[in-house]
Order: sequence, then C-alpha cells, then structure tokens
Amino acid sequence: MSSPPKIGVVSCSGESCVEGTVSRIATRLVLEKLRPENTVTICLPLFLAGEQGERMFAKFFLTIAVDGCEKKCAKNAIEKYSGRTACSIVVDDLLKEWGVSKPRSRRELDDEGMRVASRVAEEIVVAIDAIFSSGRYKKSVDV
Amino acid sequence: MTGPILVIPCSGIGKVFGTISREATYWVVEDLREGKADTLCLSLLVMGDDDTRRLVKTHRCIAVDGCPAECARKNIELSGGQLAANFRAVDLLREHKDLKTQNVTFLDENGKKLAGFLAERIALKIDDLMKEGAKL
Amino acid sequence: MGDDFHQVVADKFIFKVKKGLLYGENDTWARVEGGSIRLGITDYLQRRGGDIVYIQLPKIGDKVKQSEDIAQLETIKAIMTVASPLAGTVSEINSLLNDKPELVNEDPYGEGWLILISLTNLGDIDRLLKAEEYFELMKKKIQDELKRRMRGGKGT
Repeated sequence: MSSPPKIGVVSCSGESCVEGTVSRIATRLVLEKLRPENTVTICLPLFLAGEQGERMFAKFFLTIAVDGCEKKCAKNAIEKYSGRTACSIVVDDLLKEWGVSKPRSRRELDDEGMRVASRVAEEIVVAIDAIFSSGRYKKSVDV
Repeated sequence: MTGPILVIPCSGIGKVFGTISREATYWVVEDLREGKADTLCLSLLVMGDDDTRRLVKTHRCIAVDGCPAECARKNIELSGGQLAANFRAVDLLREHKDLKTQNVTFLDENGKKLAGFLAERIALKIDDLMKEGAKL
Repeated sequence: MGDDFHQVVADKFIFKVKKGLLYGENDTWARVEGGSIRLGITDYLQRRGGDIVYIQLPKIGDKVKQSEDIAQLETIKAIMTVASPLAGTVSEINSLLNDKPELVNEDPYGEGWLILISLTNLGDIDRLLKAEEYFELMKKKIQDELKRRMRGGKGT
C-alpha cells in the first residue's frame, strides 16, 4: 500500500513558557495550512507514554523536532525512542537570531506573537522542503 | 502541605481535547487561582528532568488530560508524583454534547466554553485541596 | 500479538483486523456464539471516527433487520451510525460503555463490543466476510481515503 510521502513534525508541549506556545502554534500552522498533504503530527505525550503507532512512525519516517527552549524535549524524545531527527528547530534560538522579543503571553499570542509563530512555521516549511529536495523521505511501510 | 498545587495538562497537539486541557490550565493558574496553582511541562517530566520530578514529588498535582489516553495522569504516577486529582476534557464534552468543537489550533466559542467549565472544576478542586492542607 | 491480526500501516496508524472473526462490509465485526453473534466495530472504523464520547445502544428485546441502524456512536467530529449486518433480536448490550465509551476505541475487538444478537436465521452468517476478505476491503477503503485527502489537501 502506498501513500504520499509524509514527514512527522513533533512539537514540545511547552506549557510553562511562551516559546512552547509558539512552537505548538507554528507546528499547527504547518499541518493545517502550509503543508497539509505532506505532514503529520505525532502527539508528544502519547509518544512518550508509549503509543505503538506513534513511535513506529518516528522509526520509519523522518521527523522534524520543534522545541521551545534549550531543553529540547521533542528532539530528545524522538532520539531516545526512535532514532535521529532529520532537523531540530528551537524557537528560543530563532528569536535570539532574529533579534525579536518573546511574545508576552504563553496563553494566547497577540498579533506580534502570531507573526513570530508564522515566521517559525516558515522555518519548518524550509526544513520540510529541504528534506523532500534531498530525496531522503520514505513512503508508507507495510507490516 | 503548602506550596502551589501543580496543574499539569497533557496539551496533546493532535486533538482539540489537548488544546482544551491546556487552555483550562492557563485559566486556572493565571486567573482563577493565581498564586495558589502553577503548571509545568509534561514532556520535561517524562524526559526525567530532575527539577521537574522533584517538583511533582513535593507538591500535590492535578492532571488535566484531554482524552482517555490520560498521558498526564499516567506520567505523574510513573514519576512518583503526588496525584491529588485528575480531569479529562473529553468528559466535559460528554456532559455538554451541544458544545461540539473541532478547531485544534485555536479554540472556537464552544471550545472556550468547555475549557471554562473544566477550569471551574479544577479551581473548585484546588479549593478543596487547600482546605485539606490547612487542616493538616 | 502480530499473529492474531492482519495489519497494515498507513501514515502513522496501524490498522488491525482480528483473525477468526467475521465481518460486515460496513466495518462491523461478528463473533459467532452458538445461535448468536457478538457485534462490534472494527479498528478501522474507530480510528476514522475518533474518540467516542457517547454511545446509544438498542434495548434488550429489540428486533433488528439486516442493515437496520442499531447503534449511534458520537465522537467529537460526527455521529456514526452502526447497522446490523444480520437480522435478529438483541439479547445483550455492553453496559460498560455507558461510563467508558472509550473502550470501543481502546479495545474494539474485545471489551469494546456493542451488542449480542440472537439470529433469526443462523445460515445468514454465510453472508459475512472472512477476516482476510475484510482486510482486503479495508485496505481499499484506506487507499481511497488517502486519495481523497490528497485531492482535498488536509493534514492531521
């Protein structure tokens, strides 16, 4: 059985900091609007709690980890349980690189916060497109 | 037992229940019971972060899960945390069938209402726990 | 575990069809128990529907016709109706599902069973599909769904 190539985008849950909210929303923007046909998310809590299907995906398909802070929970979880990530994006690093202030609220992003999330989403898309250009992606694998 | 009560959501990204659990948590720790409750990252806990594991062992915790997978509750228990209560966003939808919602990224009006009902429940539970703590 | 099921992977999901059961084309499974069948929905259908929050089952004693709706499963996305693959009388319902509808998602071929039907005509069982036959049908449904999503461009 074949299906279109898919890349997993894994976001940290990041409740305690605003960068976690940014990573979550940026990931959702990619899934829903920017690359809906070629991406799928893996629920990090489910992945960590041992859901067989989610871990299997990360074993066989390339994944991009999107983390809020330097603790890199998404990247570390993927690498601990499934293998190397294809790419790691850390929101905190991007904000510093861009010279942009952190959005004010972790609960709800204002207009400026949404602009930041959109920029992060674009970085994710660049990473996805680079993976597809390199030909490294795989298609579905039957068990 | 003193110190804030830790309200820990699952924040699952694939389902609207995760967004509801996250929003309800923020509602509680930033509005309804500010100063009495706090939150922390579930993924840090599961990845074995020492500070986070110490926090859940030394503070009473409320798990706020989205769906029946109950990732927050399970992982608090696995970490040896003090689970004082757990809630599931999906149960709120069972009680309020008229509030169907699907938007995962940003909650719509129904989603916010469900989050609000859930937040009220959590807040009341915190009040109970604080009373129990005062008696000890 | 692997030997008990036919399995196929699509996206991040593993879709399972339990061996040894019979199946309806409407994604129901049936376990023959004497002159009755114990009925449930397949792993494929529960995954498509999503988390089940509410279930409405028939009453014990209700007579059902083939293809008649016998249950409603409400998820956050939609209401799924389940039709009986065969005719008979409802002799048992799974009362656990009142408080734990998630059993249908967690264990669709086991604890998530829906009802037990006493068959009007035991010979009707021959109309049902074997597990291998349903597995092929399910794979086609998954493939068609993937093609539809590609045309529609919807991610998860």
